[in-house]
Amino acid sequence: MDFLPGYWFDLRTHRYHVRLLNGRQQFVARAEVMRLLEAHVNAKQDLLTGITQQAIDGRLSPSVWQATMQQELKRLYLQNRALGAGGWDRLTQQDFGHIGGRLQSEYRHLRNMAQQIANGEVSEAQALNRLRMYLGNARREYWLAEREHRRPSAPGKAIIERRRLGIADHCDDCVRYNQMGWQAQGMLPPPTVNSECGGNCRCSLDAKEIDAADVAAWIGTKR
Amino acid sequence: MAKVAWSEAQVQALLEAGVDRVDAERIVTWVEKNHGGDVERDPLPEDLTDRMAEVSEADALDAAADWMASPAIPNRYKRLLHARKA
Repeated sequence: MDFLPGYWFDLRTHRYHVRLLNGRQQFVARAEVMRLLEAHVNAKQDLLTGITQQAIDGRLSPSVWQATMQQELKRLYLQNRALGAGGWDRLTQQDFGHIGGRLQSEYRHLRNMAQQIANGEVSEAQALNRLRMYLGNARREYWLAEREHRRPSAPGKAIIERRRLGIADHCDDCVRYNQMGWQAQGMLPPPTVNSECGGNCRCSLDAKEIDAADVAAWIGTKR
Repeated sequence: MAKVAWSEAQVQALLEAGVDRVDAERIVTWVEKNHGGDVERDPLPEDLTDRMAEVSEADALDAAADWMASPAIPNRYKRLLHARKA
């Protein structure tokens, strides 16, 4: 296959690849993609924290705070989903619909929070705690997209997944998911979902393709 | 006059929080134009909030531009999300 210099996404291995200037080709390590995800979410957290601080201090009107938060969350949802799906070209109207549905719920929460900011009912600590939850939900888009866009490459193949604990304090739920070892795709909740740590979760989800006939032998193992 | 002062103060607060000038001015202008109520005090109307949750191709283009401009994304990964299918 012939490509212009730049990145491409291999649907079979579900990996990004790059052609370097010297003509060599290499894949982008998953750890590197994870670092990008974290760095990007953390940068947005810094930005949204500053915006929220301005609103709590009374320098930013609730309506402008709300509009800015909505814009930044929508961007982050889309970027994380594209990163998990394999790039912008892989996003479909269905992806837009999924994001829109989840954003509608988030935007209603933001509107309530804007009203509470206007009434002086939100402390800085409460606001930042909610902010982490919103960002965690945005981070979840990566995992959901990766799962929804990754299908077995051929008949007779199957995808299995396992929870990998991140560099953070782990809640009991995440430890339990980790101890479940490899599971069939979709059986484990994505990081941030159904866990006590919620938006603070820094776990990841490994996935691999195996022969469907071997699935039973893999379930529950930690190899 | 008071409205101009409010707009300028909002843009300034966004700039100080780290929002770039183009975004800050666009957001404040958009809120002024679409709010329809007490822009200084009230949140955005509920029906407007719901409509803003819809996602379009234009939103994806905006998010792509934001990714490219983000200082958190190293230069070598600016084009990662423009990966072609193979």
